[in-house]
This record gives sequence, C-alpha cells and structure tokens, in this order.
Amino acid sequence: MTITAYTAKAIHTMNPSQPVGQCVAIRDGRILGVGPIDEIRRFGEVVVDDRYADKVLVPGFVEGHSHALEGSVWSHLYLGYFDRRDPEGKLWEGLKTPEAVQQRLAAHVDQGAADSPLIAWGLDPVYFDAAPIDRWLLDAVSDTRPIVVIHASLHVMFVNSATIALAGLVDMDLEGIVRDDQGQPSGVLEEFAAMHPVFDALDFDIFEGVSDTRALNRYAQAARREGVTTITDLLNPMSDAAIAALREATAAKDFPVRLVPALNALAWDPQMGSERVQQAIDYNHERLQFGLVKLVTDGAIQNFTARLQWPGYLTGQENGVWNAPPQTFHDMVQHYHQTGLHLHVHTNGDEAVSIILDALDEALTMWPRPDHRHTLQHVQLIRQDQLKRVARLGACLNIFANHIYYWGDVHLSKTLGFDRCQRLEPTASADRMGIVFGIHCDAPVTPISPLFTAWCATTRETASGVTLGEAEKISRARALEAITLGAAYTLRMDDRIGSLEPGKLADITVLDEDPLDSTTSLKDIGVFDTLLSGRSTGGG
Amino acid sequence: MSTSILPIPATLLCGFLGSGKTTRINTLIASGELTNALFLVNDFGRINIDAELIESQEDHILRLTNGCACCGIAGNLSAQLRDIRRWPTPPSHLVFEASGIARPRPLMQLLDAAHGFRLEHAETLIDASAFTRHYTDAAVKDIVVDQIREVAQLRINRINWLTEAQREQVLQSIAALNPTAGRTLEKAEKPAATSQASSKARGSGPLVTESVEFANVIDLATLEALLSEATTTLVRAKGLVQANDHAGSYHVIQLAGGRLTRTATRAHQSRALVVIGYPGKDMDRLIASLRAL
Repeated sequence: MTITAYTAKAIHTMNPSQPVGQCVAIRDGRILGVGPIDEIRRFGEVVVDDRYADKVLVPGFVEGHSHALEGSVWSHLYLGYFDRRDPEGKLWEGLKTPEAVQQRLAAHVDQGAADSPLIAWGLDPVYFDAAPIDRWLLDAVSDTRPIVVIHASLHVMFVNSATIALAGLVDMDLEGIVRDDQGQPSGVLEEFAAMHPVFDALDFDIFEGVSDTRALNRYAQAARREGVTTITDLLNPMSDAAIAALREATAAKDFPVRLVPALNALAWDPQMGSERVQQAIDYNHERLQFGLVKLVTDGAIQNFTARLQWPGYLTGQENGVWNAPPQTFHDMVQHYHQTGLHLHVHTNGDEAVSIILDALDEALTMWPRPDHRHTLQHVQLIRQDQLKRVARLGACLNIFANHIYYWGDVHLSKTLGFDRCQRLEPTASADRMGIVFGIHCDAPVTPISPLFTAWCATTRETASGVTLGEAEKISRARALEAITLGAAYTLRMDDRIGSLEPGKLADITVLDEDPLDSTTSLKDIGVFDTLLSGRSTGGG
Repeated sequence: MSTSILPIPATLLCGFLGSGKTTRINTLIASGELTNALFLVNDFGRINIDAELIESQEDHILRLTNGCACCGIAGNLSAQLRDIRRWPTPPSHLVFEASGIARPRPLMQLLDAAHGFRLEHAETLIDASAFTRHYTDAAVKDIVVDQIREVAQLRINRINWLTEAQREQVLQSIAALNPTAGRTLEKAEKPAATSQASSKARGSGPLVTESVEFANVIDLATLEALLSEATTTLVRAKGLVQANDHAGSYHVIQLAGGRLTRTATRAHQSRALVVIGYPGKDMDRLIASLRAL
C-alpha cells in the first residue's frame, strides 16, 4: 500500500513519547509514524507530499459538546451581538445597536412570502445600553409581515404588530405578555406560556428539522471549517427518523467528520432508552459512534436557571430549575451505569454537580466499574471539594470555557459576582488534580471553534476585556490537549483519535501557524485544512 | 382551522414525586366522572396506570417526554396542545399530570392561554409523610414551596401516617405557606408489610449465599418466574445472565426488597447469579431449579 508522508513546518503529536516532528507518514488511513523522512522510508516506498510544508499539523480537533441544531438554526436570520460564521462560512457581523438589528431585518423582510413569518434568532438586548427591542422597533421594519425574533436564551420573544394581531395577544390575560402604559402588548413575550399563542398562530417550531440529513451535513461543514474532525450531537432524540438521518448522512464517504450522538435520556423510559442505545451501537462505523447517554439536570447560569448552592444568584431570583426531580436523575444514573453505557451529564450549577456526584458515588459503590469515564458537562461553577470527588470517582469533565468570553461580564455584574467568577470553568484546578478534561462550545449556544475555546481557557478574557480567574488559566499546550486527546478520552475514542500516534486514525488539523510557538492569539490562527482518515476534506 | 366550538376544560395536577398524582388519576378514571378524557402525563419513568381500566373507559393516555435542554416541559407541552386540538375527535376533558418538579403557575398560564382549552381546576398534591423531608432538602425546597403557594386547592394525603403532633406541625407549615388554599385531607393504607406476614413460610437462621454459574443461555421468563416465586426465601439476588433470544443478549438480574428487576447490559464477562436467602428446603429447591436451567 502507498505510504504518503506529509512534510510540515512543525507537527505536534500529543504523544508524550514522540511529541514533535516535521513529517507524518500515513498508510491505509492511519498514522504510520512521525519522524525523520529517512526513518519513515524503512517502511517502504514513500510518496512525499509538500502541500503542507509551510503549515503546522496537530491532531484533528474533537468537539465534545455541541448540537446539530447549529446546522438547522441558520435557516433563520441571525441577529446576535457577536460576529459569527454560518455553516457555509459566510461571516454575519455582530449587531451592536438596535438600529443595526432593524437594518438587518429590513434587508431580509422582502425575502419569502409576505404572509409567512420572518423568523430571526440569537438576539440578546443585554448588550444594548438604551433603546429596548419592542413592537415599535419591529413595526418600522414591517407592520404587515409577521416578524418573530427569538432571544438568544430561547425564553423570550420579540414580535411586531402583525404578529400580535395574528396571535390575538391584545385580549389575552397572561403575565408573560409585557404591556405598555396603555395596557397594549409591547411586543415582548416572556416564557413559554406567553410565547405559545405565537407558535400556535404561526405554526412553527424553532427545533424543526434539527435531525434531518441536510442539517447534519451543514453541521459537519461548520465543524470541518473550524478544524474539527470528531463532533458530538450531545442531545439526540434517537427516534427512528433521527437514527435513519444519522446513518444516511454519515454513510457518505466524504462526510467530513466523525459524529458521536448521545441519547436524550429524559425522553425515554430508562429500560427502553438503554435498549435503544445498545441496538444502535450495531450501526456504528468509522464515521458514526453511538454509545453515549445524556442527562440534562439543570438550566443555564445566564438564564438564572442553573441550580446553585448558597448564596444563589447575585441578582434576580434565588435559584434555577431542575429538568426532572433529582431522584429521577439519581435513578437514571444507577440504571445507565449498570447497563455499561457511558453517561454525559449536563451540570451547570454546583447544586447540580452535587446531586450527580452523590448518584455516581452510589452507583460505583454498588456496581464498581473501573474506567467508566462518566463525564460531567459544563461544570461551570464546580467547587474544589467537588473536583476532588470527581478525581476520586474517576469521572471526567468537559468544561464550558467559552462562557468566560460570552457571559463573563454578565456573571460578574448580574449572576455570580466577583469571587465565583474567579472559579468559573476551573481548568487549571482540574488539570492539577489529574482529572481528564475537554473544553467545549455547546454550539449553537456559542460558535464552534476549538481554537477560540482554547484561547478562552488560556486567557480567560471576557468580551469587555476583563480577566476572570488568573489562577485558573492553563498553558497553550494543555489547552491544545483539551481540544484533542482530552476530549477524545471523554468520548472513549482515545484509542483511535486524539493524538498522532502509530496505529491511530489519520485525523489531522492543518494550521497556518504554530499554536504552541507563536505570538498570534490562538483564536486568530487560521485553519487551512483537515484530514479524516488521511484524506483531505477539501480546504487546502 | 378545525377548532372545536367550546374550549376543552383542563385539570392540572401538580405535586412532588410520590405525592399521589397517579393514584388521583386512577381515582378519577374509576369514578367514571370523566368520559372521553385525555390524560396527559409528564413523567420520566413508567406510567403506573391500570391499562384495562382505561381501555374500558375509552380514555386516552399520552406520555409527554421532556424535550428542551433548559426549558423543562413547557415547549413540548405547547406543541402537544396544538396537536390535540387538531384531532378529528378532540377529547372532552384534559387532565394534565405535571412532572414532579413542575411549578404550577407557568402551566396554569399556558393551559389558560392555549387556544381551544380552558383551565378548569388546578391542584397540588402533597404527601404529608414526606413533606418535612422535602421541605428541608435544599435541592427541592423551593419547588415544593412554589407548588403549594401557586394553587388554590391542595390535596394532602397519607395524613394518617403521621402522629397527632406531626400532623399538626405539617398542616401548620403548609397553612403558613398558603393560608387561603382550600384543603382536602386524605388517608392512605400503609404499604403491606410483606416480609413480616410471610415470614412463617420461609426458613430461619443465618443467611446462606449460593453462587450459580450458567454454562448455557437461559430462558429469562423461566428465571424470572423462579425468582419471583422465591421472594419469601430470598433476601437478595444479583448477577449477569445471557438470554436464549436470537441476539444472545446479556441482562443484569437484581432482586432486592422483594422487587425483581432485569436490565439489558453490554457487560458480558460472566454468566452467574449470586443468591442470598434463608436456608431450608425452599432454598435447596430453588438452587436445584436454577442449576437445571
């Protein structure tokens, strides 16, 4: 078989025995070795490929927590505050003022049928100083075509007069319908009871099409462009249709990433859920891996819905919400642990971390299972004593590093206050205690870009430029490990991916500059190409 | 839009896990008060309702599963209500059993706002015997408090499980949280003390532990029948077996507290069952039967 050797300016392997090199050899889609070309030639005839000669090669990035919704939400108009690229790579500039929001809506209001609603997403007025988003602002765009703008949190909606009329909001008595001095709806609808009449009248659902093949293909492209070679869909319904779509999309030989879906456990009776995953494992192939089970315990800190221990939230309400009774989570952990499946548990607040550690403690006492790799996801506020328990229980973490940039300022002033902001996303502590961890984006909550995520973990800068938690910064090398081998370990795939070691799949990310030996900010380093099983996915 | 002329009256049942919501539904069904009712249950485990009873009443049961990452059930319920209204023959009554952590207010609002529905009645059920435990648990206290505060009708059950003094204290705490709510107090039978009642039927003395290895795949139904019949003899059984189905699937078998559970598993390293029970003829017979499987 042909041996292809790619030369590069530098190669970082994440293999401690052979950490760097300038040439990587690939045969049969696998890494044959990293080393001097003359040593590689001992394996036989080598075709030297210099296309990446001035580039830097690292293991393919692994995004351990994101959602295929990133592939479908772009069917609607983006109105977020931050610059963002759509799956095709088109840059959508962040909108910094209400006027900019108005202008973008106006530019799109003539697209699509006049009686169909114009639906937009991603807006968060917390970043605007003065003028509120309300029906007057939207009516200036159009008072005839229904306009619906969904808040970044998904818990609030902004609508124009045409939508208010269609949904009959004027005469409805609901506290979530915000009203002006005259008692007329202002166009702001809070929470689902108030949003329901709009969904009802316009007959749409923001989650529609999340798991069809088109959304999966767009999702894969979005990930590929940022250097990702393995990506999760960490809350998949795993209905017959969803499984069929996953199989169909990943069956294409040129599907550019490996996809790892996790069952949404709360949607299934535990017995049926575990059988569902076990049956699906039979469909696994090199680009599709079932086996994960996801539990979502609490909400999100920026929405005041994460479950916090004392002293609760800095402002606003006292505590957040559970998605199911804590006892249910406890029982589900016991069940899925016994089935031998691999749990990933969403725990944003420290109270959520606490109940899951108790559940894991009991499961592991009753049913000892070495190397279970159950992973706590997000763990934004995990405490030092809880980190020690994680280490003792042999669990893994996937830490939501992007939060520091996107919501750090909000956490400082509104949700958590100074002290707890220093411990947000405590990567250095996890590292010090020897816990294996990944870092993640949770797309579409924040954009996919492992290099950006690594930048967050190394600099801990908020959008306004404040540094939160100097003591929890990690080095570039540790951050690079977290977005490759660390994340691969949390998915139980580190035997195949995560480092450039002989025998592993040749999943490689090609960078314009050296992430470990460059003064360029990690987030500004360009991704030139990726290779999946040794094959270029098309960038370079 | 094909909307029924009159809005469908809706009943909302809230209350923490084990507060008696399902029992209440069974009572409603058995009473025959509601005909052509739809029971919408937001639960994360099995629905514990007598299926035959429901069939005879021609009522429908729908299970609502949790969809959204952080919004709880509300988004899902919103879509479900739209669907129900479009049925060719919509139900004449809707009974919604909320999940144990649901706060009543948003659900009451949603049922009120939903086109084609009218909230007729909302109540929270409280297990008096668990109230103090829940009320002092920081992880759930806020939810229990909201469940009591946000409705006008409380149904407090298992009141007879408490002593006079405990009852006074619990009722006072509840009244302090919602002084104006209407209250219905209910009694409930204590769970049957099966282990005591059946103790004569089994042997006595120190427990014995036996280990049974299975050389072959086994019939799960036969195994389950054997273990179920032996619950008075056995204290505990646990192990891993391979079924004689076409896939040769593996299952974890657990018997504890008289309850038998079976869980399909990926584990496949052993095929053995450990049984712990009272020595005697029953035990010997069980072991022999297991070995013969």
